[in-house]
Amino acid sequence: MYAYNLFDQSLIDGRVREFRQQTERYLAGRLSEDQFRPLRLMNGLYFELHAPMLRVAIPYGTLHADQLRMLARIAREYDRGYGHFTTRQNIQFNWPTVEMAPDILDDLSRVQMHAIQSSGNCVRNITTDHLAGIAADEIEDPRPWCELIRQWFTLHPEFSYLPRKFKIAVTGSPRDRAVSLLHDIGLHIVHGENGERGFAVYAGGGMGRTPVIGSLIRDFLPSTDLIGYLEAILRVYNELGRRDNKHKARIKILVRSLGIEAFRDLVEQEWQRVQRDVPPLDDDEFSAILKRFAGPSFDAVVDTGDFAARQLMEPAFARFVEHNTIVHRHAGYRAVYVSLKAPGQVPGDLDAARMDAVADLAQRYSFDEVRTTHTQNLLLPHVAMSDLYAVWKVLDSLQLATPNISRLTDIICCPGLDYCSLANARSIPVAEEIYQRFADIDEVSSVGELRINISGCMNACGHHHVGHIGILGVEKRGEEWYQVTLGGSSSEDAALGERIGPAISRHDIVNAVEQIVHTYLDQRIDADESFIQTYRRIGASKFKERIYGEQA
Amino acid sequence: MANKPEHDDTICERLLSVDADTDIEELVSASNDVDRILIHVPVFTDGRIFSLVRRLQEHRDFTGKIAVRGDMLPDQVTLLHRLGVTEICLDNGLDINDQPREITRSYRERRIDVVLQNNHDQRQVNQEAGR
Repeated sequence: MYAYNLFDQSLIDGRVREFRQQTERYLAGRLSEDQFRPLRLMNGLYFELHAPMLRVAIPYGTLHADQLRMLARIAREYDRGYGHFTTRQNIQFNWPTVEMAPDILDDLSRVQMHAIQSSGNCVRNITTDHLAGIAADEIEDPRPWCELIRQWFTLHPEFSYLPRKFKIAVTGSPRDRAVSLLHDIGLHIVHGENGERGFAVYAGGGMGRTPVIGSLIRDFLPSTDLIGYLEAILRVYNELGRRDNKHKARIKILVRSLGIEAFRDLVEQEWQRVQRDVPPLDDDEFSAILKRFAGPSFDAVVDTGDFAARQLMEPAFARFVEHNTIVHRHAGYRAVYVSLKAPGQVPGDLDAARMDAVADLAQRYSFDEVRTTHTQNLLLPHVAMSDLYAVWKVLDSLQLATPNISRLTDIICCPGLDYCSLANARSIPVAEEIYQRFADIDEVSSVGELRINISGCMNACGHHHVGHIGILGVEKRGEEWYQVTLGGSSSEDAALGERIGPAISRHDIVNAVEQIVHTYLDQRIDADESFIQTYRRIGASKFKERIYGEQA
Repeated sequence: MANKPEHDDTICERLLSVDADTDIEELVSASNDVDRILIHVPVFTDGRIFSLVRRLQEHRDFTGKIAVRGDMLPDQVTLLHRLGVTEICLDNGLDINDQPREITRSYRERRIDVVLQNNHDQRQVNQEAGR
């Protein structure tokens, strides 16, 4: 985990004082609502449907136990006792007041946290693979690179008033767990022919109302040139991105209208200029960041204790191990998912008491570290196998051990019309009904890997375009309807789901999901063929017939 | 687009007056030998001004001053200062001095300071070696 130096700390401390004064000017009427808007958004503060919402940054999804405890304290003292983990690895508090926001930021700064650029038309939180440093297929840990990018684009004077928000994701593994191809910029760590380190750069991806899969604009960028090249992309976007229509202002629209070749040429030209001002990164600069990432000191040989025997004795524990843990690249350890998806639970929500309990587990069993995932779960990244049973016992008692990771009830879901001023329909109650319909964990297990994503409007915060089953809430004549897409994927084989027919009523939407699942079970070759594999093999027709009848 | 540079006898300077949405390439090529460029900002959310200013600074044949006038927030004045703009006038009724007393320095500025210092140190070393 990255530990702040004096400069890092002074920056966030200064920012809190700055924002306090900006808030005072707004409350005293010296800044209008419109003038205050970008200032508050760049500090994470939204004005939502019922109340302000504060989005706190969790850089590349990494937290230490004390940071999670601070989030719990904020939930208790300033909110209604809970927080909501988002699809960009951040956390949102839905009920603070404007006056409270500077105090919350002040509290956060004491544990090296902030809300800087968690919203606004600027470079947002840099996200990454939640299995960074764990996955066996990893080429290099992406987090130090995320930190480098975070630092450079924090309060950057040229890029704080872009045409629209700007999201960057970095992955260090060939298996893309960071949804990188659906980001404004996706960076893949690669090694060149002579083993030199660099990045494949993708640009122009995004979800929202015009979903686009990012295009490769450079297959190998030496890592020393990363910052200059990112600046060049951002400058082309800042100069040429549309400002006349908010819905056409993202970089994906610019890339599409110019064409990838022309866009690439502009970036290369700009890069030549930028390099005069941004000299290549030298080794010392990157080492300085690397040094502040203290990794866990794993035991060389770990006694796995009664790990195997416990699984034989308790099938529920065995299922948890199979579904909710990942083999760690360090022998004797596993990464353990904390499932925030259970019946009666809003996907991604967690109350303060359980935040504290997870923080305690992290401190005791996971080298003080917790991570957030874009699928709105938490992860204890480094648990010794001999401790897994104890961890499971605690998680199970907290209802955080539903063995459903990457299964059909591990639903990604936006806040929807229950909280959001943009939404057209509710999404949380649909997720809740799916849980109830698929309450039988044996059934969920037998269906295998299946991702259902739900958004309450076309802004796609619930990533419905890339769900294996995507559900989009729409409003028709004052009623909630839902469009269904199939075949989406957010991985290295990224694909946008295909709409299978007319919107389905609130009453029938969960029946439709059930029909889709049953169609898959009927059609799959065997239990090893996953939903997405079956869909790619047979296409949409069988699913359409089942839902809409023969005429579809 | 930019008006042609005019020669003004009263203040003896070549002034170029443009809007923030001006084409950057055209402006840069028109900026040679201009003493001062005045950029009008129509609306404070239009961040093109920041790239425009930086492109001008990077252009070797422009050695004049950049002035900015228009709808800006006092808080943005600092960003412009950081990019090298010295003359700023707000015409939206906001008080340019009504901004936080202390404006946070970014990582980018710190790095630029370090690079400049290193270059300076290197020059000194070279000079001393040359003696």
